[in-house]
Amino acid sequence: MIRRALGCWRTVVAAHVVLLAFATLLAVPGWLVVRTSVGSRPDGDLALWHEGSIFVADTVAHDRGALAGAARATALGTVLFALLSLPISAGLFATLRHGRDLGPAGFGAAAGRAGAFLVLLLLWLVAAALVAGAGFAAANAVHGAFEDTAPVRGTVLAGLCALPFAALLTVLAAATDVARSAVAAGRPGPARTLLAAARAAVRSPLRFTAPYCAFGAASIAASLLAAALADRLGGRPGASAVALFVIGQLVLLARAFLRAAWMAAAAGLAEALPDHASAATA
Amino acid sequence: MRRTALLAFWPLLLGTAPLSPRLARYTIEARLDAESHEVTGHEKLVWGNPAKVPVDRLPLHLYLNAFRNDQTTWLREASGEHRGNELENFGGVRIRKLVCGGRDVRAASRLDETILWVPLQPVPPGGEVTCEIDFVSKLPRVFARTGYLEDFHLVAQWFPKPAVLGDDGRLLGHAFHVSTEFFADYGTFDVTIDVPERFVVGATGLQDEETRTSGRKRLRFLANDVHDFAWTAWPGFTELEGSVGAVRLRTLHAPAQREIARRQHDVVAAALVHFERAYGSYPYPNLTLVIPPPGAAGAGGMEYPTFITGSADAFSMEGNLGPETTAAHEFGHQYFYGLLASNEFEHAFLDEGLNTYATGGFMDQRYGPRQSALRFGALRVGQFAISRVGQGFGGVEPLATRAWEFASLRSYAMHSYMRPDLALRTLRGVVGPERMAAALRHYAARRRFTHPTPDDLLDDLSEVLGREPVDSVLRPVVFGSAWVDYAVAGIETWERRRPRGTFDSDAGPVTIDDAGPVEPTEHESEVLVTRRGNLSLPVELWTTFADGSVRRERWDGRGAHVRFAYRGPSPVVSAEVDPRRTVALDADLRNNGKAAPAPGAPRFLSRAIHWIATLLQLVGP
Repeated sequence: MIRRALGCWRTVVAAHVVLLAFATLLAVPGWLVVRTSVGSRPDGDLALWHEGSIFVADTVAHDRGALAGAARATALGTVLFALLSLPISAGLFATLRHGRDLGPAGFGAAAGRAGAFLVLLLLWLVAAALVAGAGFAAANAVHGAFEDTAPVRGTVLAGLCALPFAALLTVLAAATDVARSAVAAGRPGPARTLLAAARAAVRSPLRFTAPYCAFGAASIAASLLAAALADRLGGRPGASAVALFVIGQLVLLARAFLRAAWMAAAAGLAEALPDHASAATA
Repeated sequence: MRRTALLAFWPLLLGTAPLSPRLARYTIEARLDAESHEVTGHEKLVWGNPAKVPVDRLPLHLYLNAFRNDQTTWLREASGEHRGNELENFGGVRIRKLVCGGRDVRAASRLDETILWVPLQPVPPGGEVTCEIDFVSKLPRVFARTGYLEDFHLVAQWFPKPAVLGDDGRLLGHAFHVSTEFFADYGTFDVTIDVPERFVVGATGLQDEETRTSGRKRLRFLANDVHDFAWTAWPGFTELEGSVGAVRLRTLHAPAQREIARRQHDVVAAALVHFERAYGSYPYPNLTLVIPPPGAAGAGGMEYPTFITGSADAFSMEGNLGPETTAAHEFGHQYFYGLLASNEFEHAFLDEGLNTYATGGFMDQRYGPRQSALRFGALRVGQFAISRVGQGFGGVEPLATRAWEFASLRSYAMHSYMRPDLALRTLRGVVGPERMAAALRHYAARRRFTHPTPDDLLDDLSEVLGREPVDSVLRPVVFGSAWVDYAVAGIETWERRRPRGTFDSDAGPVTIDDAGPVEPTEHESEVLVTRRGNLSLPVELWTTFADGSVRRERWDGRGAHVRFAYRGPSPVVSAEVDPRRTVALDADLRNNGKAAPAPGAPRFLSRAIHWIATLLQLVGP
């Protein structure tokens, strides 16, 4: 799968560049607040980590409104990106299904299925909200039952209670990506496709979730590694901002390829989905 | 009947000479109904008139009446909630019998919400009157430091308590407001608590005897030279015990909270040693720390004499020193509230502010000043930073403002906890830590077992430190709206060049268009330091040059600005005013340093892009 992702490297990198551009745009409001706050100090933004965080405290004290505004802008931008990136997502799934860069025309044709991707996104959000809500309610009930007598045990049991719901969410997430791959390949009916993918995923959950979790775990490991390195470099005077930036970018790119590798795996699973007629009679 | 002599030395305590004026002597019989959460009590109160004039009305605080209905001053100010908890049912105190000086005065008494005005036959200065009071205190569900949660009970502000009067007989206590705490005269307590037998009880003072009959038990507690009495009762308590010198330390907690209770128990033990060294001996033989069970957080973080409540969390990460800070702070109140019983209505900063400073000093010493509040990865937060956040809570008001007269609850918090801490840190920066410690020790010793006022504090500090530092730092903050903001407003550097223009010479005027730079190369630099605000204190300026050398300057802080000029082989690259953070009151420390050119915030941008891209990867392609 990694090989297939690497084979489509131009498309993967192009999609990643768009994402990075958007991320940079969204980072600007917060960055401006911090730059105005401590950027002219001798140690610049390193000051945020020094002297027991007194400069963080002063920034919160004096720039609370600007910080809240930056947070709101980032949240809004994230929602906007989730919608605007649907055509890119469709094109990327189609590219990884074919195992080669499709070129502008082919990518554009796949991107035209963004509408179906929007339906899939909404269905996924509804399903995820229902499962997460049910899991939260169950965990909360267990926690509440033990709150007064054995709160620690209650917390552990609530965590255990939430596990099946988390597993179901994972299966659903993997099935949604498989459905996306199928829809990107031209399969009609996003809702029915998602249903078919979900049925297949529930029938053989390991086949769906094992690659999804493997690539996901690798992504998380890369993120943790980056965070640890950033902490070490970021808190040390004289640390190179360039080194920090390069490490961050490498990790992001690695994650983009890991995600692409999973998309390629999802394409394989999508090909094995029964068509709608046979799914209906199954 | 079983007699338990828990501590052999309490009779010795009773036998010692009074440490305080002991203006009120209480003998109370209290019975807890664990089903209705009511305490039925009989109180015999012997009250001495401290005023220099006869007194014909005795004001009694009935604090629980603040929770009688949603129209009380307290609940209207609080909009029905406290620390995120909503009042779920009402409480209050009902007086069933009130006899003073042998006369039934119940009907003639006037209830003014949380103060009951009791008519008396005039009591002469130094005279005494005895009152017999029957009352029923209904506890609310845990709320604002008192109440019940199922069968857990934290019983505080539950009995009629005389208010403090001034020399002229004027009432120094006030109605219970959401931002005020309590104020009472020193006295003695002999309290017998009757609870179901399975309940574990903790209370102010020392337990004397315990008797058991018909499924109930009666425990007698004695406390001298204290000004309040609180207790707790819950069948679920287990306890930790220890001692620090002659002081017995007992921590009551739910079994599941053992670890967090241990952390708070240990920090209180260490705080006791620290405070004895810094502010004089702890004069009581014991201290009880209560960790309210999870769900009863509203009863946590409060102080009563020899009895404090800590953080109710069931779990907290090791690096989060919130529970330790809470426990140390509440212990600190044994001094700044317990032994120095200032008026918490009118001068909240005298207990909360001095205690925030004292607790901060303890936490800084124990955990390091740059991580005394939080240690999480690269994020280290000190107590100083916590106090600084308050700078953004609104305009500057005098610390000596009555608690309910601040512009808002946030302003009350800022001026009662955080700003006094910053003011005292500033004074410490000016006079040095040793002299500051000696001055506060002097205040704590001299005003022990009294009701100190802001003037008492300033006078006592001045006796050790001299008038000048106290009058220039503390007085303008206590009685005025003093503030200050130092800043390095500008750095300019340029290469020195030979003179150009038209000059006279023996051969007549000579015009030089560009003579080039002087050799060897020299730079001129100017650093502009400004001061805004009406507080004026001397500060240092550290100027750093490109070759790494540092020049240390001193400015008396008078005037709105000062300009430092330099000439030498290296240009100035940065400057920092007050680099030792002497002026903790500085409104904004960020502008104290400046670099040329400015380094900006590249690391933040890099991290922000990384984490936002991570977020977008979750929602994007």
